[in-house]
Amino acid sequence: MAEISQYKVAAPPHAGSGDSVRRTMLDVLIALLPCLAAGVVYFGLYALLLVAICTATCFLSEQLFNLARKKPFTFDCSALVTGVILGLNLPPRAPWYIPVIGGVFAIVLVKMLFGGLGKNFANPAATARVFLLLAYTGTMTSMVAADPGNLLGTDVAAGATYLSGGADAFLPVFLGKDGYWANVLQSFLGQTGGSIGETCALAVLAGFVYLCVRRVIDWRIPAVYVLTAAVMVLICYQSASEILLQLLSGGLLFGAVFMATDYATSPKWRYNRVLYAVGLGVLTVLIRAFGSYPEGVSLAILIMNLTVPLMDKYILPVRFGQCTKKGRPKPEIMKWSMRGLCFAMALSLAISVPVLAAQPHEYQYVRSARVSEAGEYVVDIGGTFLIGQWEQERAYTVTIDPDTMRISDISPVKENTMGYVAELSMFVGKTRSEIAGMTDLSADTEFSATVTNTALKDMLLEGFDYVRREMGGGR
Amino acid sequence: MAMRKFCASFEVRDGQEGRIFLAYFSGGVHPHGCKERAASCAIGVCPEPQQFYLPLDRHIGAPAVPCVQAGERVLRGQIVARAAGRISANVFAPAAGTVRGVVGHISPSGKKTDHILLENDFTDECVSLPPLSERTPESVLARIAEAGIVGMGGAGFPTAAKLDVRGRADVLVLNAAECEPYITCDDRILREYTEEAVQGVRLALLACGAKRAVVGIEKNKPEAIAALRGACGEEIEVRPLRTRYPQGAEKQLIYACTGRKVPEGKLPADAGVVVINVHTALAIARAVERGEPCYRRVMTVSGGACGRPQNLWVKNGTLLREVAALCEGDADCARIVSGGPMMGEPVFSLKVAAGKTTSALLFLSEAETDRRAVQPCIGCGKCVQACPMGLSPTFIEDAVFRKDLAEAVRYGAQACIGCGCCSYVCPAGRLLAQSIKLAKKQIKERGIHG
Ligand code: SF4
Ligand code: SF4
Repeated sequence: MAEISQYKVAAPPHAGSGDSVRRTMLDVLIALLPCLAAGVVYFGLYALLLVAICTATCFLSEQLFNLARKKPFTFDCSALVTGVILGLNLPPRAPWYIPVIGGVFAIVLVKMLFGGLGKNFANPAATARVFLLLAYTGTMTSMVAADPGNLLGTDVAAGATYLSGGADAFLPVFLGKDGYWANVLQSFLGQTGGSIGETCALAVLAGFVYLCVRRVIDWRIPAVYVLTAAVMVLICYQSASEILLQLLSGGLLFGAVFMATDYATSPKWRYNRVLYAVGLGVLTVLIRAFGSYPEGVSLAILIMNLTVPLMDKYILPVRFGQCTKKGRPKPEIMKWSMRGLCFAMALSLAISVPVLAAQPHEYQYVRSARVSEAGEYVVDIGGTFLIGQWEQERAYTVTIDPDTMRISDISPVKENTMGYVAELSMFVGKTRSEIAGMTDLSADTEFSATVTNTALKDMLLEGFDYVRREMGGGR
Repeated sequence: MAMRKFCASFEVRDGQEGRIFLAYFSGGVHPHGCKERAASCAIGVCPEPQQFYLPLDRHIGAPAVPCVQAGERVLRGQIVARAAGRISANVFAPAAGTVRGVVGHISPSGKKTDHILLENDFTDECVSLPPLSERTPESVLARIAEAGIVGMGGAGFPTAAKLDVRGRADVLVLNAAECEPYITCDDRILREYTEEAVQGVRLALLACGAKRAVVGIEKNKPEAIAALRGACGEEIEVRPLRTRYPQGAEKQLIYACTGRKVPEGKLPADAGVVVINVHTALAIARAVERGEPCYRRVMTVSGGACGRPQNLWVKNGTLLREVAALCEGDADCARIVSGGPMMGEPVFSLKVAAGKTTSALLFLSEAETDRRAVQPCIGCGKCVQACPMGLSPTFIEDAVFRKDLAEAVRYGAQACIGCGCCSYVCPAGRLLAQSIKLAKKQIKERGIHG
């Protein structure tokens, strides 16, 4: 036997899970890659440059701080994570000094001055974003439209997010589809205006799955956050279709996965985490619905961060076999109430969404509809519009071919005498999505003709919707 | 209320309370099992050494008092030291030979304690107690005490004292979980000595007055489960449990097997349960049936730096050096551990003698040991999720460093079972279990209550 002489004596446990701080942070960086990639695809290489500047600033300011305080350098990658997250939170065309200021603020003021990794009271990236939003409101809220493939980022148009600009932020036709689900798909893929990393829900979800598989983050925080936000949207907006658009827009998913789960600033016990996530969901939607900023995620995270020390100190897990003073088993109030709350929220969503969605649609313009002898859909549409300075009535009878779902004929029933006549030929032979995608409705003649055309377009779209939903057309 | 009725309906049908509501304990960790290599080896025998250093204090309670003189010849199975009181245990000669006297010898804690030095003469003459013919609770208990049996899972509490619950227990739990990685001795015992182990459970049932027994065994031992199913009768139920560390910790095991939670600060008997270990059951059966006292045990020798992992009958007093030589402990061994890698004590020196509670000897290679540098806590909360007792290790550690023991009590330091899950998961490599052990010690010393 070889003499065993080199062994060490150390306290149990002798085995370890193999996790380390650096590996954990690397995992977060890996999970952020899809978001970064999506950001570059949609917003060009300038976005990458911004993230790089931000990351470098964070790393350097941490090391300079260490140097100034005569501490050893830290290579745990946590500054890189902060840098990338903050970078992805910036608008795609921010000037170069924004990431520099944000990075220094996040690392020096929020993190290092409070004792470095694990000691900060608030999420550095979220705090820096809120700070930048307050200090550079104009810059931080001016977004550009996504332009896939335009890597050099020339000639990008200004664009709005759904939160600031409403449904106009969406392309009328996306991937050959139109209507509500096209909007949802568009926000899911992230081809909208917004911060660099937060628009693409698909990329965020990929990161979420990776982090859960690697057990880096607790899935409860993002899941309950999103659930609560969905319920709150339902309450505040009274609409089922709003839920998906709200959840997929702005930084909600990105914040839920990457910022709300930050270790130092989220609670440690799992049911405290649920409570924290519920708070986040409520605050986010309240700020969105009633606040003066369109976006509420960072602010909600910042506010909830401040409550975390209190939760950790005063809401403790019930210990195994813990008894009350009277010697009875201590009830696990927190555990069951949080579980109950989540269950109730999921249940209310499951009940109210189908109910709201099944409500009869209200039609503004459709007056009557029938199927003709030839099997074509015939819809009478009409409405009153402000054309010129006068309220004028317009009514048409539209015939839609059931096989192609194209308009085969439009005949005016009531065209006003004032002479502004819609350009019917523009619409004949078109499908719904083609009509929805028409942006240039101007007629050579006069401004009021454009208004008339637009009115007709809206009526036609509704007519199509009516045929599809109520008459089973196009299936 | 409705819930309780619902439970009760299952009680009647199943004959056991709350069967389907047996929640598993929350928390815990899932370390690599690493049991395959040793589990496939039948139990062998470690050759007898020339000299035995018989430890007198490898049990909870007072050290045994030597009752032989230097120069006296003893036979195998002859008593050499007597229990000093109820919470203590007799010590027996593992081989025939000459007593050289009581000597100071290194113990697992690193201190020198009294050992009886026995020179083996290899004649193997033996004596044993007479097999017990008349079996009453009293006589079985007396025999268990006489044979010097202690809890062989690791704690070493004298079994006779443990089983003597005076009718307060109605369930006996056999701890066959063996949740620590590497260790396979209980698994092998259950496979090779199934009948005897089950007989031991029956005798323990008789001794403690419980009505039924439950065998709690982790699902990763299908052969042992099958063997047990074949051997157990009506009154003994085999219950496969989820493979998760610390499934074999007393309170967690009781919870998984009976659905009862032992109240904090109370003993299992207060919840009507007695727990014994597999090896203890085997020892009971042998003491009663064959009159063989407790002077040897099965020990797992394993680990990445161990050339031939195996399970061995090792006599008490054998130096670990001899066992290491037999199993080809490697030169590049990074740590030697007596017991499992989660809770086992580090071995300072291979001169330490094996005792009744030495369940395993592990030679861990560099890759298997935890080599993380200690960093400041990053607040990930993994220790809180992992603690099977529902404590908040990171906050307890913080409180200990601030010398705020009242705060440590508020976070539950006194309830720690020392399982080590918190240290295991911590990505910052913090030695949480140690800090909490320290907190517990200080709380006890200063008499602070929650
Ligand atoms: S605090 Fe104690 S009981 Fe909890 S995981 Fe750590 S060692 Fe185990
Ligand atoms: S597991 Fe370690 S790093 Fe995480 S909270 Fe506990 S002590 Fe801190």
